[in-house]
Amino acid sequence: MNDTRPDPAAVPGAPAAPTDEQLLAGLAAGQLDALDALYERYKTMAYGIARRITADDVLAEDVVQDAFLGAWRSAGRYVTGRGSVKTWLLAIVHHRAIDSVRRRRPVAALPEEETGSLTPDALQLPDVWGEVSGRLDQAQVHAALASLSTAQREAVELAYFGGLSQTEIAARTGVPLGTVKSRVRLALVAMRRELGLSVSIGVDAEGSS
Amino acid sequence: MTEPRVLTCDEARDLAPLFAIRALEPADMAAVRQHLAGCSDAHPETLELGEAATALLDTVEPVQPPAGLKSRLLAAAAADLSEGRHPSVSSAASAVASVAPATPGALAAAAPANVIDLAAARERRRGRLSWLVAVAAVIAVVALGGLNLSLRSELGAAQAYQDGVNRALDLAAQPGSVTALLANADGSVSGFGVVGADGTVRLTMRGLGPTTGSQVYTAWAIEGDGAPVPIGDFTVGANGVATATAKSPTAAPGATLALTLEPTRGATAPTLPIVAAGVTRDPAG
Repeated sequence: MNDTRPDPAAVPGAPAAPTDEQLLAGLAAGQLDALDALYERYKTMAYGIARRITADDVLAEDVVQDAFLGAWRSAGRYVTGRGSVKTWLLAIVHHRAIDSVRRRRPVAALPEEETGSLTPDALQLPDVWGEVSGRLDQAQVHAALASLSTAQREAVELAYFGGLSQTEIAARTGVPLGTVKSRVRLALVAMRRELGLSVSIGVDAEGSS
Repeated sequence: MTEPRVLTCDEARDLAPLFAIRALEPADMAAVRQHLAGCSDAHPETLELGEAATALLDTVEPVQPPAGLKSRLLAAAAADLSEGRHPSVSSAASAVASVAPATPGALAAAAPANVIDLAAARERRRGRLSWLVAVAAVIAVVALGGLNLSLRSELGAAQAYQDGVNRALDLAAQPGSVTALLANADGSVSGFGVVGADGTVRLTMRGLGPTTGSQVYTAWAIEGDGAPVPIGDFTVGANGVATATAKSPTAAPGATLALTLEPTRGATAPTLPIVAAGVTRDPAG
């Protein structure tokens, strides 16, 4: 019986590429070649996300640089078991991009807590990220998104890719705050169902309030 | 700033969807964060909704970023190391606080002791030089990344810089040598300094502005809280590259090497601003 032998390498004979977790440990230890490798692995996704949110090539470059530098400085704070490195990293890019478009927006809508409590360059590490992203294929996620009602998809996209808050979405779409909340809840629960993931959240509130 | 309001579990659950896509107002974001941090309930709904939200990232088309972005990122990361902003850099780097803007809290972060060698076994066989080779490779990438290779003068500058790095590496291979990455805040000036056991300093820099008239760049060594000691002067031509030899009173790791632009040779105190700075470390340790 040799089936207990570990076989971590996907390609026999080829040197195993470092895993994302190993690269992140390299970042925490201050290894520039690890940062180089992690950047090469995720640069196109990171830049794609930053450009989608900022709609500005130059700003998107700053976002990607800030996000990778943030990961470089905060790699030691990544929590194993709460999600994949890839999603953690891309969530940092997402957060940084949202922060940059919110800062750019010339509205009085930014409450002073935002500017008062954060230093301008403070990096917000993701609160929740999970690991499903690494396991899904793009077509599956597109299909899940397409299964949402137009109003649900609009609410989610305005928030997630537009950086709008609940209040701003309500004002933009002309619906009450409670409706925005229930649309987002229904949309995210439906996404999970479509992606074949467990759903423990009750879907009690209908989006009619 | 005001304390976040205290939420019940039901309130936190109610806000979870908007929290997961960061669409709450900042005060409510902070309130949910505080609740999750202190609650005995694991609030699995927050993770579930968060996962659904991050799955949206997979709907975005990947786009190739401009090539220069990687050079800037690596230069900024290298400057983090040389200026003591990275948590892995020992607190000896606090000497830099006097010459470079320090990030509050960065120096308080614990230094992870565990260094994982990412390179394969062949790199390990090179022993203590492997780290230096990796650094030199990055510096070369940084140097080349900013170049338009169609311009012969810039190619010449890259070659001059590479030659300087090679000479510095020879000294770095000697027992007792310490090394420092020098850079300015935005990475536009960067380089590599080596101090031999006898205090001989080999400095290789790129991105420096050319000197004019009697101007010189002066290199300084700063040990602990001591005053900066001038260790050598040099001029820089149009290619912005300098390879200089100097003599340092200290060869101990943890000293700061810094460059300033001075109106004439023989300065006894540095003229601000600091053009570039870095902290020496033992490449083997």
